[in-house]
Amino acid sequence: MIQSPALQVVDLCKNFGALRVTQEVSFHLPVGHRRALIGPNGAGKTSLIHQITGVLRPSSGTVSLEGTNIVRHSIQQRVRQGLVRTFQINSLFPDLTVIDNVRLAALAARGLHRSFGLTVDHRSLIAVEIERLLSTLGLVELGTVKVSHLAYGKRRLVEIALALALKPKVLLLDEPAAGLSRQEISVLVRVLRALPKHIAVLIVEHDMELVFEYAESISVLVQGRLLRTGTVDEVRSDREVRDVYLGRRHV
Amino acid sequence: MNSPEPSATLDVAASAVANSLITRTVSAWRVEFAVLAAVMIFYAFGQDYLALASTALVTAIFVLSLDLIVGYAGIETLGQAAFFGIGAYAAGLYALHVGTDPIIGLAVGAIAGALVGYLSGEVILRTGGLSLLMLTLAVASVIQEIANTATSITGGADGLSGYSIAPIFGLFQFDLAGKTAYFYSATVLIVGLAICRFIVESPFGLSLRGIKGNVTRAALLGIGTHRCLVAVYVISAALAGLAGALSAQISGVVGTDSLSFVVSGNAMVMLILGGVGRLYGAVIGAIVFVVISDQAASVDPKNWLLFVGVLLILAVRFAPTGLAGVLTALGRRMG
Amino acid sequence: MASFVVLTINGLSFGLILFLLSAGLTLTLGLMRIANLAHCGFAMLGGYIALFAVTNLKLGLLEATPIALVGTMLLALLLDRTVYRWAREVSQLQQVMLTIGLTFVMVAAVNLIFGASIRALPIPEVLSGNYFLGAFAIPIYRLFLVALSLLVAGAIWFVIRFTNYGARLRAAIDNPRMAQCIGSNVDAIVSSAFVAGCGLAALGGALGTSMYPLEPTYALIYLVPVLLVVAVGGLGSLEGSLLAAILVGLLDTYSRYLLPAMGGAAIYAIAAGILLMRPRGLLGQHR
Repeated sequence: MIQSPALQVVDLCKNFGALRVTQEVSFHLPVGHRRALIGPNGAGKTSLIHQITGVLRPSSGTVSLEGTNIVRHSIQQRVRQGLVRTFQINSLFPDLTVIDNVRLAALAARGLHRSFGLTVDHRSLIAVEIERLLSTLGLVELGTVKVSHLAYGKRRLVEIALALALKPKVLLLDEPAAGLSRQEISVLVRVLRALPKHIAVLIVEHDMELVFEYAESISVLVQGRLLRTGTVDEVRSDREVRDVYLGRRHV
Repeated sequence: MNSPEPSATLDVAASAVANSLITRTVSAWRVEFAVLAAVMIFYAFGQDYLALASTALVTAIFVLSLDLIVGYAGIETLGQAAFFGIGAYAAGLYALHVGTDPIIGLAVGAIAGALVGYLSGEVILRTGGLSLLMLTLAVASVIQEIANTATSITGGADGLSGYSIAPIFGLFQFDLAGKTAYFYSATVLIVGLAICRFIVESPFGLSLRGIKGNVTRAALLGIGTHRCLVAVYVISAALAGLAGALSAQISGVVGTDSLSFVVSGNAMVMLILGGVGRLYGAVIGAIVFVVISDQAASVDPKNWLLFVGVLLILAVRFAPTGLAGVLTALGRRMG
Repeated sequence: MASFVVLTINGLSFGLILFLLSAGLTLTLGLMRIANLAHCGFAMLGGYIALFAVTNLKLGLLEATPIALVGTMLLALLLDRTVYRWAREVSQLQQVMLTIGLTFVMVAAVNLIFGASIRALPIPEVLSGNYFLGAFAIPIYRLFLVALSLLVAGAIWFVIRFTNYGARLRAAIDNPRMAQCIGSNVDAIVSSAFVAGCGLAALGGALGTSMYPLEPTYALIYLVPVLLVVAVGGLGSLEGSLLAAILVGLLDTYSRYLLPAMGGAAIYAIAAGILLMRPRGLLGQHR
């Protein structure tokens, strides 16, 4: 049996009246694949992400997670099924420490967030998980610091830690490098490379250096349509893509 | 199929994360021991003031119930007296018509509070901010109006009285000096404090703090925020009902003013005065408020309200973290 | 039929006085976003200043009312520079505390100066007596209150809709930061609206004593219906408050007459129902 793709989008359309923000978009993300989604401002990237995560209901088409159509599932259901995203605008729990932020996500992922106490096994399991995530992201020393006291770059890393604690199968990264310094971006790239192999990643990003360095393949969205999907080199050398998008920045 | 969990290793105890979690829990429990010690010490020296002390302890339980929702879940309310009053009436009516056992009476009060908390919370917690503040006020006002009108059941403005309470566990008779009442309410307070501590340190408590800080994101983690809020509202209402029942049993009378806005407002005052979101702040605030108000009321009842008003304004202006915050800061400075 | 008319006039006068008591609060909530629980205190102060003028200066109610209005507004101006300035810098919960504290101070002060007894101001002779509708008597003073309150409501509406000040006020309610950007002095607008709102409350407090009698706990007793009116009407919406106040006045009067067993509970239940269906109130902004 062939393994179903981690994420599959088929003929996705979204209209706001006469405005067609998504037009027959189809693509699939194999398990463990790292794909970048690029496109000029107003191409409909955010609308597409919203339809995949369940913020927006598409006008037609399907979104499938590991072969199951999830188009009618709520945002929360999709999160529990392993479709997790990070946010552009910081949306953490400001009054909680870094550890508690991650702990809350780790508990929620296991459905333990409503329990009044944990077994010793669960307790150590969660502690190990938090420890592992914080050390991957270089946040161990900051564990007991309140998130509201963290610098911006560190908060972006906590954001990723939260997403990973939810045990994603598909991870949507919404402009993770926005507002970061070059040095912080290099930490980010290292972190992204170290993500577990089974997680499929769809990264929306304007920083082309990061995209070319990190992604295995690229999809280009223009005016709500997928213009091209291919390997980094194919997309880089595609004339049409260069004309509508890359040309403006790289020539 | 979930991906396999990394197996828990033995060196967990040595890990920084585990350590920080354990130390925090242990230090948090110190408060319950401190209250226990204070109760014993006070009994040794303050025999003449046991009645007042019991009132302070019951009030502390009530304010504690408020801290659970205000301080940990961010539910701001001006209607907590509804549950206190319902619990008091339930316990009073139970003692009058059904049975005189105090422990069952407490349970009846708690269940009545929880029931009203569930029915109202399920609906009003769908809103937030000022609307929620107004709705809590509206719910309490409806209940008070009903109590005022249904005089055949509640005794109306005269209050509900004439019931008696059997000895606790059949052993400890309520005495005139108030010794039994004192230890009874102290025990309930310590148990209540321990339950609250247990709840706020649990994963559920962490979820509540998450919801308080960022409700949208909590929902996006897959947390059913409405269910969590209703759950803590019910627990808080039960605790408030318990305090009301205790008050009804100790004082022997229940009045419609136990449901009033002034009771809700005063509880908020005590909570802010003591410090929000610390549990022990609720206890400190209640005790300080009850003791000072008793002293002031006997010396100069007219100026008492003036004093509280000025105190409140100054407290918000100069000590926004409450007495507990001031004490913590002092403690940190000294060592 | 005639009894229905009498009930309606009564309900209207209750509701319209309630509108005067609430109008300032809805503006304050819309503009400053301050949970101002001391608002009824200003109505109470207005009532007691009028009482002072009537008993000590031997003035009639109609002469005493302007004095109450100005006196209360001066006090409001003073408090706007102090307590309410602090309130803008703290959380909603602390605002609640601050304004409850202020209310306590007002209650205590009134209790100290005027004593704890319940007082009503004498109705001026020109307005005393009844208008007879068949066998039913309608107090002329009630008719006067209805007419005056409607006049005041109309004047507020005119100022807000058709004057430059009104336009800036509306802009400040819709978006305080934006209004600041286009050069409106939001601070001055907020303060003036606050003071004017306290004046309206004082007017209601002084004129409405036959329905809302003066007592030191006035500031706490009538806070509940006033907050309900504001919440049901929608924060920041004067039209909403007018609608809600009239609704509350009428429904409360009808329900107390038709369902005496329910007492005042009916109106709270209705208000809770409305808020559940429209959490931002009848005419609140839906953002």
